[in-house]
Parts: sequence; C-alpha cells; structure tokens
Amino acid sequence: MSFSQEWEQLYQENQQEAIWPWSHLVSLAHHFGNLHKGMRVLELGCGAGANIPFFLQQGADYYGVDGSPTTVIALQKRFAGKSVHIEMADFTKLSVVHSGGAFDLILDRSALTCNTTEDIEHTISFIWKNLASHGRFFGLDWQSTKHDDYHQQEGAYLDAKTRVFQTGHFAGMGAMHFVDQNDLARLFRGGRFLYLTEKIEQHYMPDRHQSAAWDFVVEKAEGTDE
Amino acid sequence: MSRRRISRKMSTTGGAFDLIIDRAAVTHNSTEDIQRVITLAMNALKPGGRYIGMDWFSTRYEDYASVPSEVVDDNTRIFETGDFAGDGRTHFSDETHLRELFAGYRFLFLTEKVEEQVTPCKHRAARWDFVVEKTQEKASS
Repeated sequence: MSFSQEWEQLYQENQQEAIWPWSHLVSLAHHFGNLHKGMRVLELGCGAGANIPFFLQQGADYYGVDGSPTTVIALQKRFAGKSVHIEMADFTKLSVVHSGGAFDLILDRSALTCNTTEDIEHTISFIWKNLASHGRFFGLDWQSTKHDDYHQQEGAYLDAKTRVFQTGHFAGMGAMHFVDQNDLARLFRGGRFLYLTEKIEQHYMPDRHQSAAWDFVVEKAEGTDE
Repeated sequence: MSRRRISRKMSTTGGAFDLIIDRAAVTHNSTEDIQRVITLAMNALKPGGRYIGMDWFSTRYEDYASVPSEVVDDNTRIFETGDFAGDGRTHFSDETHLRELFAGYRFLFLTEKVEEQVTPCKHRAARWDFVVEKTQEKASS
C-alpha cells in the first residue's frame, strides 16, 4: 500500500478544499509547539494547505509533503516566494526530506491515519530520524476504534486495524486505520506523550452515529532515531 | 455597527438577519437570560434564517458535577476553581434542555463533543454544537 489514489481524485474534484487552520492544531501549537521565528516545521499530508498560513504567521520555515499532484501544484503556486516548500511524495516511503536539518515540529492532521499499520510504522521511523532532539510530533484526528464505522460489517481488512470501506463515512477514502490507547502507546514507544485526548462525538442530527478520533503530542526522547 | 445599533436592529426590525452565530458566548449566562436571547434571536432572524451555537457546555463536562460552585439556577453555576474559574456564569445543557430552549426552531444539526483527556491529566470536557432554523410557521405566528 501507499498513497491512496482516492485522495488525488478528491482533490481533482475539489472535494477536500479546507483552507482554514484546524482549531485543535492551533490550540495544541500554542500549548506544546514551542512556536518561534525560524522554527522548522514539516507537515505530512499537507492537503489543501489549511495549516500553512498559521505557521507562516509564526515565522516558521514550512515544509509540506503530499502525494496528490493536483494539490501540490496548487500550493506551490499559491505560496510562491514565501518560506514554504512543498514536495510531491508518498510520505510513507520517505527516508529523509532534503531540507538542511532536523525539524522542530512534524505534524499530521488525519493523513497518516489513512494508511496501513506497516506504512504507519515506517513513517514513524522517518519521524524519529527527522525530528530534532526533543522535537515534537503532533498527530490530529487519528481515527479511534470507538468510531461506529470501525465496527461495520462491510469493508475489507488490510490488516487487523486498517480497513477499506465502500459505504459509510469513509467510503471512497481508501485505507483507514483505527487505534486505541494501547495501539498509540505501542506505535510511539520511542517518544514521551505530552498530550493525549480521545474526542468522541455523539451525533444526533441529521443522523445518529458516533465518531471518535485521537489528538496527541509526542516528544522525541533522547537517543530515539528509529 | 455599534452594540446599541445592533441591539436596536435585532429588537425592532424583525427578520433582519440570515444567520446568527454564537461560539461559547450565550452559554456564559443564566437560563433566564439565555431564554431572553433566544427569543430576541427568533425575532431577529428572517424566516428560514439559522442560528449556529458552538461549544455550549454539556452537563457531561466533568466540572459541572465535580467542582464546588455557586448555583445560579438548575443549569447555571459560578466556579472559583477548575476550568471555569473567573468566567462568571456558566450554563450547562443536556439534549432535552437544548430542545426545550430552542423549542420554536427546527434542529438541523446537533452533536455532543466529549473530550476524554488522558495526558497530561485525566479530565473530561463536553460541549454541544448545533444549528437550528427558524421555521416558516414560527415566522408567521
């Protein structure tokens, strides 16, 4: 598995055009981001670039990776001349981003969770290798096993925690990975959790269902490089 | 537009606004004051106009039941410690209470957001987001 081509299709069809920074990201960045001018930030799966203006405003040197040519070309054009570097790549296959040094912050808002367990583990190795000492990783909106759709009968299993759905809220999104607290602790055993919250949304209208996702901040521990 | 002019526009013109938004503002009032605001909003919205309420505190918010507070009314508290210390009046709703408050409206969206924080400390926050629409029937009554 790799970058889900379903996402390129979604960007081509203008189905994923979020342009405002995610409010939870802004809140976490202010509490745990050590924001400062010149800080080096890498976003995995930067999508339509919703979070870029926020980090530019902080004076950050921003790097983004995405597997969709459509969105990468659009972002390179939109942020030309700014301290923004967008690379088209499947971030689950990266080893090193050619950026001249380690990152203070690597973030992922609901991108890494769209991959298999194996690809996620590979990407986490990349994260440890490319984070500065005591650098931090922000994971936002990683799907939780408490999400109703995780328990759907329909949908193929790519591994014990990764599914592909033809119906429901994740239809047409390719691989979708779900975690509980133990999964997160195992995946990020090389780091120290500074923040961990499960967000459970009980929807009553227009239809009844429960969605659930995790937000977390992990600090790279001394000596962790894989 | 000044605060006084907005207030006058809401109370006298009737049906002036397509959309009224409130993000965690009205919920910092007593039940009686909230009922007054909702009536004012009803008068100020055009038929089919919508009210978006965000981050109204839920009765499942840990502080509602577990932090000592001054009771203003059944759903409203004033805290000196905890998440709401220094915030003045803080109102908490469950689904039934929200539906009672907005009885004259039609709910288009209603979600309770519960955040179970594990680290740095165990804590539960819970809030409501909702969208209600002023019905044609209500507009003509």
